[in-house]
Amino acid sequence: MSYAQKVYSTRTAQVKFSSSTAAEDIDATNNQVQSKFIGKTGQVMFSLLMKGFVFENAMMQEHFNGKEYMESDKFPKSEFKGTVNGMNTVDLEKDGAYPVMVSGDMTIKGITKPVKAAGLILVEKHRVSAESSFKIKLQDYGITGKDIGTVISNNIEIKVAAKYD
Amino acid sequence: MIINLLAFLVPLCCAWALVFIVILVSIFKRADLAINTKLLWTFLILVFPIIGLVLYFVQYKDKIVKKLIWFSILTLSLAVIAGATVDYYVFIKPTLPRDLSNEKGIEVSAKDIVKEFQTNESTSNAKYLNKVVEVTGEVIEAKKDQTGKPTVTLKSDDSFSNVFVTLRGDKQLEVKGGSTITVKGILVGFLSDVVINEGVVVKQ
Repeated sequence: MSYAQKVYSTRTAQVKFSSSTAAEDIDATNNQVQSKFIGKTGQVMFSLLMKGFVFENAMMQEHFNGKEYMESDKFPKSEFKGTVNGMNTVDLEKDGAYPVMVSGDMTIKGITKPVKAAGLILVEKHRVSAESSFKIKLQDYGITGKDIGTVISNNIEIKVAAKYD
Repeated sequence: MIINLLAFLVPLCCAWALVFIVILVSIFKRADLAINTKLLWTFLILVFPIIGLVLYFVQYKDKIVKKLIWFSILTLSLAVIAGATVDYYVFIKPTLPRDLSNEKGIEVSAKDIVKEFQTNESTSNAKYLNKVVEVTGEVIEAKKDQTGKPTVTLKSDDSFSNVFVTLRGDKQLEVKGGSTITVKGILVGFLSDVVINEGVVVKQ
């Protein structure tokens, strides 16, 4: 089987997000993200549990999962399903860093929106990993807590890093 | 942060005010001082509170003053303790990481909890989400995640869906595949596996 046809997967990909305002910097990390990537077609998916985001401040974590923001009891998961465009420029058998574009649909809090982002596929000794960072607007996903726009930025930066098994 | 500071300053200011009033009243009640001397002390204490009080205490070491010194120390210490306690319980403790050792976990086997989530995810979410669980099961693999945190997978009856646990600390778990362990942690939810975070091995 050639590497291109292989399904790359991991259960410990990382998704970080950060919000930065004059009032406060907020960061959270989820190290239990599931990801699958099919080399041949460029299909890629990420799924994560909202309660898997860990904040340094436990009270922030509670607010994040609470009724005013993510309602994680009602919407426990988020998901991205999409395609890596331009897989013809990527050689998964050869070490290197390949810049790519990823496009697909992201579902947060039950709302699905198209997302497009620049990413990087890294190949090192047959180990494949992927990285990307992009911004989303909270209002696009119906997230409207009272601190958004003041303490919490409306634009959230998301960083994804997956080292496939 | 500012509210945080207020919790500390409000009782302290009240205590200061109380101490001032009590001391000034006691000065005016003294029979041994002329009115001008009393006014002078009042002025000194109001303008230079700390120096004024210390000078007054040093100048008149009688019984009443000794009582006043004890009263001031006690009142101010109580205010500091009260401020710090409120500060800790209201503003600091809720921000600290959850302490699982104080929480009794829901005891369940890896096989049963996976079956429960597969049968009805939403009722299982209502039952387990964000709760502390103590899951017992057979180890399939023990690894490290990409940030170096140890992980362990516990076996269910369905080889596509197991219990996946990220452990606290940074030491990879030393277990033989096939041995049975119990892990306590916070239930994060159900992807293809039942996912647990902040895990601690309680029985090996």
